[in-house]
Amino acid sequence: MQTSARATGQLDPVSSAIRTTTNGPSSILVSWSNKSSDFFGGIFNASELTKQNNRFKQFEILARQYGETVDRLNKEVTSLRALLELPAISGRKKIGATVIGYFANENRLTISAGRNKGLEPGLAVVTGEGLVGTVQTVGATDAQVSLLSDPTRKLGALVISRNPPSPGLIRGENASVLVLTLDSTMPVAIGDLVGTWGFSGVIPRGIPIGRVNQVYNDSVTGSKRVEVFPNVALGNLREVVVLK
Amino acid sequence: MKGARGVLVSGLFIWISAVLQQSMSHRLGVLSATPDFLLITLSCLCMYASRAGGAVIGFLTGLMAGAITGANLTQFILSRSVTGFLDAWTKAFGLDLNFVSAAINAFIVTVTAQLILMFFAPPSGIVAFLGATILSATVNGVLAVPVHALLKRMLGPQVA
Repeated sequence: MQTSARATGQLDPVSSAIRTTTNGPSSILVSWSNKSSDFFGGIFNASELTKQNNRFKQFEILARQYGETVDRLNKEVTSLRALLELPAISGRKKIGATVIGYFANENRLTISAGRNKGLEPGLAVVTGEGLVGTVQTVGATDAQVSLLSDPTRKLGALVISRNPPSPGLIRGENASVLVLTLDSTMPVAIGDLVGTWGFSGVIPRGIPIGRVNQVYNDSVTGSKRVEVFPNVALGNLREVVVLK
Repeated sequence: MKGARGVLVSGLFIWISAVLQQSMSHRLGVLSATPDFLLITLSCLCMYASRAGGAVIGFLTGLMAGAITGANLTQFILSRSVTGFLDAWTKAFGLDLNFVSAAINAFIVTVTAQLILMFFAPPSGIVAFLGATILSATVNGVLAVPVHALLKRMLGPQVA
């Protein structure tokens, strides 16, 4: 029952019923924990936070000006694509969610958004630093996210520091090491930025995943094993965004 | 542990530990050692349960653990049920119910449950998994002491 439900991206009824009883109190505890952590953090770092606040106000003004420029450029791109008769790039809706459970051994997160916010299996889950993982199963008010560190899931990835970008498949090894498999002819170096491929269209292209840490040549298979350090600290997430 | 009182207290402890496991476990980690509240509850409740009772408590904690993590329910249920049964059986050896035995019991229960789970669902890095299990078992041993104290007041022999 569980396997067949998961194959369709749904939760089995038993897990769904149990989560319904635990999600509410968990959300309250997480919220209370975040607030108390922020409160004590605020007391100990008050002067630094004031400086940061002033800096962010300046950034906000700059970002508003930048946003206007981006809007203008987007309109230009759209009109140019129309001239070239290319399909328009669909905009992604950003759905915010709180992390209400993290299970390191199972490489999963539980987030506070589900079918009620229009989530579907396979959607990308991101933070400001980059990709966190993909939505695996969706419940009524929550969803399970399969993290990048999951060794059983592979994603298309590109070494986006290279021109043209080198494509390959990336999978997790543990929370701090991801393994990208590339063809041996593909150029790659330590420090290169790795991002999503976007081949399927569900996950947008170019979302940062991490930076190359080690490169090993496998002469037997004729491939390169590239170890990538993820941009996102998977154990410290509070808020995430789902791209729909 | 018998009767409605025992069932009620067990159910309440299992539910609270599931909520804590989902929301607080990863936040309370010390040097990558995270507590497993459901295993703490399993170990403490089994000190008062019969063998069948231990297996039922194991079944319920396994069901909760599998459901909240989104993992395979069967693997969690089997590993926890077997552990609960074995743990409740150790009462036959006439061990004292005190804080030290509660801590040691929680350590052994954590290691046993995770080792059984490891055979059902082999992790990608076994050495890392075993290291995390031992650290987690140590934290569970420490946290089992207050849980045991609470359970002793609620389920232990009533002093007039």
